[in-house]
Amino acid sequence: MTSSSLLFGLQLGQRRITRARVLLAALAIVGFAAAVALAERQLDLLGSASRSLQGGAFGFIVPLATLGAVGLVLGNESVAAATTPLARFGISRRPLAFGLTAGALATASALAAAIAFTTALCAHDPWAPPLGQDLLSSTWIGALVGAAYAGLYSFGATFGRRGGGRGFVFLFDFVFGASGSALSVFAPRAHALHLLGGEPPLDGMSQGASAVVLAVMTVAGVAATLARCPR
Amino acid sequence: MTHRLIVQRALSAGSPAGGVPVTLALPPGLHAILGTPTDGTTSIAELVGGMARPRAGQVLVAGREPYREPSLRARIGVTLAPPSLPDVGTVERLLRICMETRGGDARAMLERLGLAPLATRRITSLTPDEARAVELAIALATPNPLVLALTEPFANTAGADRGAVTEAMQHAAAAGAAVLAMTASVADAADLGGQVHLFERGVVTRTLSSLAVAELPGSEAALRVTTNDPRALAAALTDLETVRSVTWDEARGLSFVTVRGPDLDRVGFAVARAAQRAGARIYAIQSITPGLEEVRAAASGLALAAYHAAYRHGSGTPMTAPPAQPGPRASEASS
Repeated sequence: MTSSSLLFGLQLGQRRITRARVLLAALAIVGFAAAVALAERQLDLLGSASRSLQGGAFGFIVPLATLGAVGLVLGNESVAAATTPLARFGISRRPLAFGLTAGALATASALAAAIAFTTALCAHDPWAPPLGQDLLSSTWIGALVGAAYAGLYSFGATFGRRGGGRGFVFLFDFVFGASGSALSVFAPRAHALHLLGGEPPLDGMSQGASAVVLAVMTVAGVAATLARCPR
Repeated sequence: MTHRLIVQRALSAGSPAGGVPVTLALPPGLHAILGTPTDGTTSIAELVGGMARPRAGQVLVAGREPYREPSLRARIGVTLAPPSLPDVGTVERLLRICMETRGGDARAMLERLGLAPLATRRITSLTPDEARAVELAIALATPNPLVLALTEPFANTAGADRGAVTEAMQHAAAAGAAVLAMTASVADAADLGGQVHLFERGVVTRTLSSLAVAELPGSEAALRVTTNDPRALAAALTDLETVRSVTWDEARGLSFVTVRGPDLDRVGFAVARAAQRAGARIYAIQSITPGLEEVRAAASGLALAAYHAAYRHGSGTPMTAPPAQPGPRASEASS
């Protein structure tokens, strides 16, 4: 895997996301998260931070926004197809895919962290932990969860002609993420909710273990993506 | 005969052919594939270039699969009908990436094609024709090529020097590459000077030499001129050396003169000179391009005529092969 090929992959992804309309869309998503948090706070101040983070932000906005971010970096194609414009000149698809996936990971992670930060800020209530601490923990949880989603969505994008497998990952997470069943251990949403103070996906599972599972999901997702990508 | 390129009933995902399996086996040399994207020419380019995984069948270049081998793809040059250039910034940057990853001097090729000013442009600012021209320059600059699969190399290429394109293709063929020019133009196919394969719904139905192609409709330029005095114009045209044939038609109210010659520019110039000399007024000039169905029918007719002529003259051996049996069709593949 050559560093220049990896760099080409990163640049390919970066060119797809560094556009004014993409930045505007990201701002709109973060703004929407802020609006939901403010509405929640307006509705009932008691526990508004927890409700906003566990409900709107990590229950719906983060999974959808990260799905969009991965789709954007991959150009709404499968991982192999996204690498083809450069792979056709004789570059191996794998380093290119690694570059693209790394770009997707960074984008999704930053977006999820921004959503979490904004939500924690706008929905902060007097019963929540001190604002600084709440913002810090929400942000790193957002970044970790965003990366896990990006890893799994990238893996999903190795299935189907247009990478439609990532839609299946989204549905799985949406259905099982808050179900309380044993399958929820494979859903990033379940671990995100646990880290935010919700029920653990498995009885007796610590929050540290959930963080580790999210990190493992990220690494495994990227590794499986590369393994499934042809040369 | 060693086949450099073998495409065996291969199906390309998302091909405009809509699932027509492509079958082809070609040795090194110059090959014009006379067909349209609906016949599977786009699929050939995608599959041979390793850009699409065959959903079925097999694609082998020098015995290996281009989809799975980057080192093989580095020795294959491809252009598609809608160009597919990665957005890496400027054309210059893309040319540098190509030179870094597989060698060859794509920049020099762009200059040879007379398109050097495109190098400084951003890829996203290129028109489709300009993007096709850049793609063509990169493909022609492929170092030690095994296969060049070029879709319409002479059409919509932003004024790329036709002579330089032909020369580069001939040079690659002479160096041992299988050079495929996928085109719907009989004139372009004839100009290349290699073998011409009539390609229909995924299979080669007939292979002709460049001499035989000269007999087909469309192998020379033809203009249809609407005029007020067809007889005078036709008479003036017959005096000109560049004109190979003239016919006129006054039967339908409007008067037309059909003129044939070596290329459109020279025929057009001859029409202008003749009209001036004859004092004829020209209302419209239209280029006549025969449809591929017409070309295929003419090829079948020519082959059949040659076959019968050979037997009628008592040699017992046909001068050319009898009409080829059609190859495998989509209906057979699906059954």
